[in-house]
Amino acid sequence: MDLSLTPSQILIRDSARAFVRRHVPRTELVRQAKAGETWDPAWFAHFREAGWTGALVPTEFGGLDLDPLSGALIFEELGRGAVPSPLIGSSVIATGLLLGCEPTGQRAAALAAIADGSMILIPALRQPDTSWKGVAATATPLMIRNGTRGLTGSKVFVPFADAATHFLVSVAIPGDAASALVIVPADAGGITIRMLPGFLQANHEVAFDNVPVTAETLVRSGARSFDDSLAVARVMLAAYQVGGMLEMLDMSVNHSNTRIQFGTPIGRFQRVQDHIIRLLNAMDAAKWATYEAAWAIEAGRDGVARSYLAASTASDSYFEAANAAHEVHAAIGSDPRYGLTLYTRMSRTMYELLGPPGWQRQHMADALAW
Amino acid sequence: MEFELKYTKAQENFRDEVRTWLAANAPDGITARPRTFEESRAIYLMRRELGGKLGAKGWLYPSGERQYGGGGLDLDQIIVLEEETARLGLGLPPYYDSGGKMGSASIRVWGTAEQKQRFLPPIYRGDVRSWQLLTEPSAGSDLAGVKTTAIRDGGVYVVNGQKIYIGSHHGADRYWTIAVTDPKGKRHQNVSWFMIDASLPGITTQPLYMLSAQSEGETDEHGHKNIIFFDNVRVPADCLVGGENNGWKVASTHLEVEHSGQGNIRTNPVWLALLAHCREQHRDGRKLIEDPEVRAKLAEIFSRVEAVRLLSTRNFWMVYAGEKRSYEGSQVSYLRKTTNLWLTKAILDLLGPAALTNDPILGAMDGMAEAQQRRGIVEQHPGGTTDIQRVVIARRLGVGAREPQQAGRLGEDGMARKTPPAAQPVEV
Repeated sequence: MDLSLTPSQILIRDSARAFVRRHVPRTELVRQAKAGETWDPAWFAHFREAGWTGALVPTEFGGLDLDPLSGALIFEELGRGAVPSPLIGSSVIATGLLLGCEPTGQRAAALAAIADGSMILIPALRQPDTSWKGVAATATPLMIRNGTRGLTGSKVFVPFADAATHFLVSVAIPGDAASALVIVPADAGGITIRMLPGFLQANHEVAFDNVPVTAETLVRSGARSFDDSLAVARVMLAAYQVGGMLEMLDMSVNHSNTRIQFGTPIGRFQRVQDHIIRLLNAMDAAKWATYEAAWAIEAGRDGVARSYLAASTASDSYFEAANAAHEVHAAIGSDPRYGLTLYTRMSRTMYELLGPPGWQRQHMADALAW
Repeated sequence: MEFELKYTKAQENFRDEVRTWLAANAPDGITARPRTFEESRAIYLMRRELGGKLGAKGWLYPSGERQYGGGGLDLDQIIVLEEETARLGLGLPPYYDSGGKMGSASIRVWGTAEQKQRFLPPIYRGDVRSWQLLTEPSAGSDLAGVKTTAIRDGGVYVVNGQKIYIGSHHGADRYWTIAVTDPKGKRHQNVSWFMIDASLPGITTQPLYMLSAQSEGETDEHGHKNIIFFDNVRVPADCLVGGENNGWKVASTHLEVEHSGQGNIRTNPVWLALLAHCREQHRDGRKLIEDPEVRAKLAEIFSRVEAVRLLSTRNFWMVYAGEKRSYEGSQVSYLRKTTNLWLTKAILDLLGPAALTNDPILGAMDGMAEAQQRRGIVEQHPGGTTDIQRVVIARRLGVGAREPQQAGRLGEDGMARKTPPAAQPVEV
């Protein structure tokens, strides 16, 4: 057993950490949130130059093909900075889905374009008025009119749709039992994007109105289900959430040591200590579930089950950790200028990005063949 | 024991009168959600106008003494008034008036006859809107640690300092605040309360939009707070209430009201909207309420909000019946806050991301679910954090002390104490 990071993993983590420290000041994130800006193309350009757009893409398509833990360390640092980015949608979720599909020329081209950063492929999955029952269940049936297939329907809660060069849309092909995805250029006619206002961050409704779908743009799921193919993606998401918790822990410890009430730092009060310990326990539970899941995938163990454990633990933990951090900070924490709410908002937005924790736990049990 | 509120014939007659009056005087759109500053301002002015009309009848502050412009009504009538205004989605007063509520309660106990005559009628009649100003950047839970000073200079006190997380939108006419009147004095023996005219020279206001703010620019009162700066503000000495350096005793009345000592018999409006949503909305091809998992979650939520409702009802009855109270106010404050925060996750589990957007099409419960997600966090802290409430409860129970600490007793009507206090306000 050795739970330490390898030198190359430390190098990757430090480079991501350095990027966040140098380029993502909290004041800028606060400004962007206030201005309603969803993502920063300059930051994305940095991800591309660093190769992170292809972090999980196999080398044959020009990616870095990082091991899951190395990838997780990048996303942990981005999560620590609360860096909002279409990177998770395109280079994690869409990439994971494509890697689970049968090989086609279109799939290869898309993976190469994601890796070199020329394509931002945003998954558009959920349909309105449905609960999450896995990716395949989100399929929108294609319509056939005059012999050509067309996509008509609405996809909801699509993160960073405004950044998409292309959408990866879950569809059902009439007369074909296989789960399928279609790659649609964002500038194709008949697509409208609507930002969803409120606490939810950078989410959209994407409406497709008779958008033509050709056979070449379709990719079909391979031997594994889409949900199994997302095991690595779940670990990356969990790592991002862990990073957020690490930062909230630092903020809370710092605040408890510098905020003076009753003539003493509030950290001396056991009630304040209790909140911080609750935060710490939530963070560590998620962190180690995430690291072990990354290892399990790499080591060929029960990676799918472990990814569900990591994802559900991280979602629950991030939510609770944010609550604990707010207890420590009281009113100051609810002032968006302070920056804690960047993480709070992220904890809510990411809570069921790939399914609610309860659904994930059920699938963990299934994957463990209980 | 009888849990049902039974109404007398006199109450039912009064209800008819109130309902008819409100139908004639509460304009359409008074509870609409404003989308622009102009709409917000118009609604605010509607509410102030209604407040003035309620005040003219003594219904704005129905428990206030009639001689000062209050209604002098008994609890039987107050219950009906509160129910009928709540039925329209309004409170009493129908606008944020924290300084009016807690200031008047404190002035009734601690003010001189002349101060009652001067301060109470404008509040009770709805002529003025008042905010309470307690918290400072360096004094939150530690109220006794306020740094704002009010130094006597002849016939005035010169006030300097800043207060934070104050009020809501569209300004106020009076500020009810606590300041240090003896900078060299001992803690707890150096502060005093003032009712200050908000238009005095040297007072400036800077808006502050909390996480719970729907928007910036005075559109929504929720989450709209202010920083109030006092720069050599000359406050007439007769605006000091309760005696110089006696402010910590006055605070006991103020805080008892703020810590939910009075109770209420309302059902959580978020719960009612959630249940209605699940009865009406479809998901996965059926009504939400028909989904066994939804039913189980709803039952769990109901159990939690019912506990809060029951204890609020108990507090309401205790005031009504003149029962001696101790920990109950803080207990309800604590449970309401922790339950509302718990509810954010329960509703997110139930409704998914629809609970996180106020989008007119995809947002659940006409945006109320999304607002609750933010308010459930922000509202943990005003009026004493959950941690402070736990301290109060423990002390009232006598945990770790020789004798239980007594509650800041309110008056027979629950609004103000009629005898001098026996207890000090609580600090950690």
